[in-house]
Amino acid sequence: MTGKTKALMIVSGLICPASAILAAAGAIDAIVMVAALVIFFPLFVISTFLTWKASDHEGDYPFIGY
Amino acid sequence: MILFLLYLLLAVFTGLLYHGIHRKVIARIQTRPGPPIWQEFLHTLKFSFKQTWIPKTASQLMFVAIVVIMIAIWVGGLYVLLSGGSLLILFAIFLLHKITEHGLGLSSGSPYGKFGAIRSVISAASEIPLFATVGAVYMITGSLMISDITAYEAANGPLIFAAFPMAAAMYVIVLSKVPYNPFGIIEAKEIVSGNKTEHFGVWRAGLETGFAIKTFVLLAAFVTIFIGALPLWLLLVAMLVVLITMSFICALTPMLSPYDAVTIQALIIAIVVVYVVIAGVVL
Repeated sequence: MTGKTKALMIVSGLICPASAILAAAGAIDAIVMVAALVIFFPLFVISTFLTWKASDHEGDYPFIGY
Repeated sequence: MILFLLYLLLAVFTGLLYHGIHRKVIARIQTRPGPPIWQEFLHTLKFSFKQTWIPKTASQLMFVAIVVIMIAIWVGGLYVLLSGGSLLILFAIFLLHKITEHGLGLSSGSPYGKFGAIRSVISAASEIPLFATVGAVYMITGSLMISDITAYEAANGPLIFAAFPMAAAMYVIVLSKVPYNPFGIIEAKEIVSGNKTEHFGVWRAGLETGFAIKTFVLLAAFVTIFIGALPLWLLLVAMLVVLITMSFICALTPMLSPYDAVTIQALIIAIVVVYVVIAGVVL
C-alpha cells in the first residue's frame, strides 16, 4: 500500500509541474494542463498524506511499570 | 501557466490561513482568546499524520473518491476564475460542490453523515439566489464572462453599487459556505460533524485542503464580480475584509434551524427576484 501511494505521489507530483511547464512552453494547450491539474493535484495531495500518515500496524505496548 | 500552479498553492495556503483568521476573529468577538491564526494548517497536518482507514459501513470507492472530487472541482473553479471564464461554469462548479457535500455524507454509511447529506439537499435553496445573481449580472453587463464583467467594471465602476441586492445575495451564498456560519446546518453540532463525521485522518486533511481552495475561490469570485479586477495584494486584502465581515455575522448569529435557514434564504430569493423584475422589466 505504501509503495503504491508513494509511486502515485511521485508520478502525480511530477505531472503537475510538468503540465504547467509544457503549457507555458506551448507544447500542450492550457485546457490540457488544467485537466491534468484537476486530475492529478488531488491525487498528489491524498497520496502525499497517505504516504506520511502513521502506520496502521498496532504500536508496541508502552512500558507500564513492574 | 506556471502562474496558475503557483496560484493553486497560494489558494491552499491562503484558504487555510483565512480559515484560521476567521476562527480567531469569531473567538475575539466572543471574548475568547481563540486559536492561533495558523491553527488550520496545524489541523490539516495533524489529520494527515494520523492513522487512517475506511469504516466498514462506508462505500469504499465513494468514501475516498468524494475527497478527491472535492479538491478537483475547486481546482477547476480556480482556473475558471483566474482565466476570466464563464460565470455559468463557476455556478456549475458550485452545484457540483453541493452534490459532493451530499455524497460525502451518504458515502460514510453513518446516520450522522446521512442526516448531513439530507440537510445539504434541503439547503440547496441557498443556490437559487445564485441563479438570480447570474441573471442580473448578465442584464447589467451583457455578458457572463468574468473577463467581460471586470472590463465593464473598469469602464463603469464596481457592480456592487449598480447591483447591490445581487451582491447581498451572493454575499449570503459565500457566507453559507464559510465555517461556523448560521446556515451551516449540514455540519451542525446536534449531528456531530454532519456529513464530515466519518471522514477522519487523511480524508479529513484532504477535505480541509479542498475547503481552503473553495473559500479562496468564492471570496475571490465575490470581490472580482462585484468590485472588479484588483492587483493580487489588494485582492487578498479585499477578500480578508469580506471574510472578517462574515466572521462578525458568524460570531453574533446562532446556528439557525434547518427550517429557518431555508426560510431566510427563500426571503433573499424573493427580494432579488423583485429587484430583477423592477430593474429589468418595469424600468
